[in-house]
Amino acid sequence: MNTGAVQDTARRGRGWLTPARKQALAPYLLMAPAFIILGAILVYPSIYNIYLSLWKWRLTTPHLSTFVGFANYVHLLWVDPDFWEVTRFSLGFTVATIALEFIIGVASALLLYGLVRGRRLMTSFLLTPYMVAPIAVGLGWRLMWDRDIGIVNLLITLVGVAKVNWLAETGPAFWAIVICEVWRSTPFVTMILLAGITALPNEVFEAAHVDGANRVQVFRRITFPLILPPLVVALLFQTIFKLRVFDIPYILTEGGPGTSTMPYGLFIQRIYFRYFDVGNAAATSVILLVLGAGIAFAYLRLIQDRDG
Amino acid sequence: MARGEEQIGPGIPSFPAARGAMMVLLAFSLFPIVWIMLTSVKNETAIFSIPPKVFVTPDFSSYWKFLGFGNESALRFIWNSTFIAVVTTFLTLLVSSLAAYAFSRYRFRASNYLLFFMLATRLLPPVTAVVPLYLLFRYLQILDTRFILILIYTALNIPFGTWLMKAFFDGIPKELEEAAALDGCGALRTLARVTFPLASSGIAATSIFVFLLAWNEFMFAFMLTNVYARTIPVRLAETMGEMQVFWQDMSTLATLIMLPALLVGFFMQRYLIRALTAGAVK
Repeated sequence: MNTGAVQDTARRGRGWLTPARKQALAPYLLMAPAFIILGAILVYPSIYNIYLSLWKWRLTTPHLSTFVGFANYVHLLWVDPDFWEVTRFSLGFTVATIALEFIIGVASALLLYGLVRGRRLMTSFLLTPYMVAPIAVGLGWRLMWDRDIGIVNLLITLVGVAKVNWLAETGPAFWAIVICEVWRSTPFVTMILLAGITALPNEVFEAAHVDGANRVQVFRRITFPLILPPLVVALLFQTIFKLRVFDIPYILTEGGPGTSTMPYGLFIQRIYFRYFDVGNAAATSVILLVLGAGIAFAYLRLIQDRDG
Repeated sequence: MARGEEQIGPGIPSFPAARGAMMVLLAFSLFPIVWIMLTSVKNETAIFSIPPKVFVTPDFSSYWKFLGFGNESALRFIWNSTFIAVVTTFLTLLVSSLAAYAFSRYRFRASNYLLFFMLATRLLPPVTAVVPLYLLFRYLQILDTRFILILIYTALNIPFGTWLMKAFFDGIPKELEEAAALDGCGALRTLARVTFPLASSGIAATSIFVFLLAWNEFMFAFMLTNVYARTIPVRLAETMGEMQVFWQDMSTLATLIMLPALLVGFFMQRYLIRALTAGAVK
């Protein structure tokens, strides 16, 4: 059998491909398809963006492109007021949604854990909003926020409050989007917390109970510190996802009124597909990439600290 | 546990108000979905009636319109979405299982760095890839094809798929594979007959996750397609641009998008939760 292998390699004239080398190459070959796709679709664009961001050119007139260095960044950061409005929206949106998801997520996880019967069924029901397409649920909320036929205005007029034009006024539009996103993505926080709480040993709670701790004390002194690590990870993940929000603001307000509810994604889409301004769209992408990488780095450091 | 017996738990709930809070949460979670479905079977008069009607004679006309073969048929978009989601799921499973198997079974120098690099790409905002990819695909003249969406969705899912599959492969003892090899199984046969069947719950978890993401995706489909490869979420968003809002049509399309996700999610919930929590609780 051994001689057969030797003859085989000799025949193909590839003497260097010994079985040992074959074994060493195997993992790289197995990974190759994954890394080729990742390289082409996610890594190459990131690098190409940096190059594009140094040029001023329009998609419609590529022959008029000129090298402008950092002028696009200067324009975005110091001249264009929209960029900062977009940044302000993203920041406010991230803080508001994450705070609400944190509160509702902890409450729902505890409620689900406390259920003696029907926990599985209830979990599926509460998980539903996270499974359906954001664009579809965004539409559902648009229907509910509608000024004339929306159920929200109907309910507030019942208690004597005047109708609000939710999606056309700056403040209400912000909260309409926040509530829709909180509704959609809280189940993710709930599921992670529920898994975290379920993994805790029950003896801890029994011991605290025997020592006479009441429910609030058990939660504050024992449960909360113990579920803090998965909680922090879930929230950091959510921060990264909030930077990506696109579908819900698009279908609810299209970023309006003005640019007051415009996320980065929609901002890039508008610069690129409406003004055909490749350089500025690429520069915005690079800034967003740096921002995302910063948060990702913090996240990975935190994971490492936890494991190490 | 007997009913009424005090449950020892992590605190807070199970006082009487907890039941009420649970009901509020349940209503909050399900109402928007029920409301969309209800609106999809109301005609315009019923939609605009105040106070809103809950009990109406269902009017399925817009379903017949979208699921029929007429002018406004949405079957083409549904087919595009289905095709893209199914192929993406297979491709992601194939590519990330191979990579995950390598990460799980081989110890080699670059292994940790490569895994770290792969996971790091998942954390970058995908929207930043739109401009370069648009230019690249335009140059290659493959804009507006299902192929590019499959490729993009696969790329977006590879890091997570690999991570998830690696966790499942790690749980399969190496000795089983060695035993199969001793019995004369070749490497590929061992994979097909021993390793993959044992990792089947991991494969299920990964598939559901990938399928839902590809089926629900809107942003890339919206920006990189315009006629031939349009998916059903893009078709839904297009109805927004018109001056008059046709709530019934829009709700019908939204329901058609939600139904498969609801069915898949509801019946395979166990796997979905496993996939969702794998990244954070480990």
